Amino acid sequence: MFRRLSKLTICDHLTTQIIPAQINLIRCSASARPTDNCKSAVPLEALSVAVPAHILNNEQQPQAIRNPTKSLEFLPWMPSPYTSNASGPLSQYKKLSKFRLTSLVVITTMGGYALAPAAFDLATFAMCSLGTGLVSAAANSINQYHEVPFDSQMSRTKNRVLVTGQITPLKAVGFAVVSATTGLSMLYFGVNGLTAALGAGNLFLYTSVYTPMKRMSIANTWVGSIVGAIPPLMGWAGCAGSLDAGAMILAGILYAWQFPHFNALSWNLRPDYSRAGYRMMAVTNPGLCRRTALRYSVAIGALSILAPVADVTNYWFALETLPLNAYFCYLAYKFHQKSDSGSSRKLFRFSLIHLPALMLLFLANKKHWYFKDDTETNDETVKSDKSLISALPKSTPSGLEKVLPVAVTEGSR
Amino acid sequence: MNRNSLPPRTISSLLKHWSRRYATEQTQATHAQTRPKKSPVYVGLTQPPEAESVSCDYIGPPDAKSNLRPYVRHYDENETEMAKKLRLLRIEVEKWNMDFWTKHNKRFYEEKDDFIRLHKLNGSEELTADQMSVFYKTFLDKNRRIHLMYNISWYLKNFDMLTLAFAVHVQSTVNRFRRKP
Repeated sequence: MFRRLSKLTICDHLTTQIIPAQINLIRCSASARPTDNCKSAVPLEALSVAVPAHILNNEQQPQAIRNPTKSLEFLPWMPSPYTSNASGPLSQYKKLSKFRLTSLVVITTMGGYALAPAAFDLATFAMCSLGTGLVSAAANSINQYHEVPFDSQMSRTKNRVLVTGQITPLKAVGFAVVSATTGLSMLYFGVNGLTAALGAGNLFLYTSVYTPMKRMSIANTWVGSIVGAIPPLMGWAGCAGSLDAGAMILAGILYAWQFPHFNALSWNLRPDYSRAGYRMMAVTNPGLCRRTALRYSVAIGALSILAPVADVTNYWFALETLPLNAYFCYLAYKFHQKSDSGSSRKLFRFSLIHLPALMLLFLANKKHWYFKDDTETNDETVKSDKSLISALPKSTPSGLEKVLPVAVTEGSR
Repeated sequence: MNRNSLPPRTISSLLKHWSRRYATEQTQATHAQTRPKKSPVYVGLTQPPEAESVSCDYIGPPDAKSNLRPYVRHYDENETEMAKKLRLLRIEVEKWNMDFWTKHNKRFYEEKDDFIRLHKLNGSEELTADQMSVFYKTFLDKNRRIHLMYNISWYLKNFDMLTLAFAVHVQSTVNRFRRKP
């Protein structure tokens, strides 16, 4: 059953910790057929030890893998679920959930929360952000689960965890289900129903509308932009309990931002997208791609000027965002005139800076800062009239009232 | 070796002899050479294993033509009915996927070469990105129906594999609890 072994040089620290029956030993010698991935400096007596993930995770990890000073080399054929470094399952879940993209989404939600015309409540703020993060992680996992063969075709995505077999599809979907349930419950019980509904709608839109549509028609970019514009609406609804014109301005800015961002990103990947079968503007209609990037970057500028009119920010905001948006429009114009890898990369990179900067400016120029309404008046009414048992708190819509009505009224006494 | 001439690495000696230590400092490269070579630990296999001889599934390097990674699905004598069904389904889906993408990629590269050759015949030397876009668009349009059919089939097969994998997982967990007490 085992391969023929001529000479064994066993790493001492490994044998004591691995059940011998489960080791596959191959003599990796210089005379063996070298595959492309085999490192060239293969010593003659090196031994390859297959350590399947269930051993790694269940029993003591071999000293070599935990000890960072030992060099670890991965050979072409790996046991299917495996962890590629000693930092454990958390790093895999981060990759599965596209952690950096999720963080950007959470930042926009926090921005929406902070901008809403209602008092800032730390508990609901935390629940809103965490809940949105979890829902976004779930959406990204399901997306990766669906797109394994397409991701393996494109060089940008061929190292994803499901493509390289580091996680099984069942585990990925399980993670998505748990994450979505936790996130949506946090939003429903910890924030309010509107936010939870928006979160559920966004999850459905991303996994069941945008993901299949990527391969069917170029209208997927518009759907994807809506997906990107909903998180700040969730933050706003989480704070204020409802959506108004100001919320629409913020969502509109985020909707418009997606176009220059994504068109610039996809411009350099046209051969890959075409071979993998994705229908993107950059491939099927490059002229439209350039025009929308320019058009929507101008729209961002226009909406930023409208923000003070809708009472979201003060008038200084319009002045401050002018240089930022002007440079963004300039880069989009350059991309429109001469679309090549240089201009598209510049536009994409600047869009990554432009969005957080815009959110910071929004925060810095917020029209009114709403603090908690005075509780003294509440206390007075309670103290003066001893028969009054409950005085309902005036201000923040706290979702906890639904779950613990008794506690809230007791606390306000 | 140089190390013997260096003073001990305590704080007081560090302060006293910092100049001598600085003078005898080895660079990264020389240090790596004088350090005894650590034998690297290899994880994994260089050749695809036999299905019966391994205790877990193995995944290999991406295939050159289809860009998909091949799997070796393991099994042993106490494999249940459902686990066997899952394994055979996975093998079948992976084979189908690999066939599709091999043929698809071959078509893509052939048509791309034809397009470039045709343009070269007409006189233009190097094709700009915009000119290549014409090819990419026609390729996508021609394959629209094939892609749609593949999409639907892939989603259904993937879902089948997922539900069966879940059932097998539940079954093995239940069996493990039954066997323990």
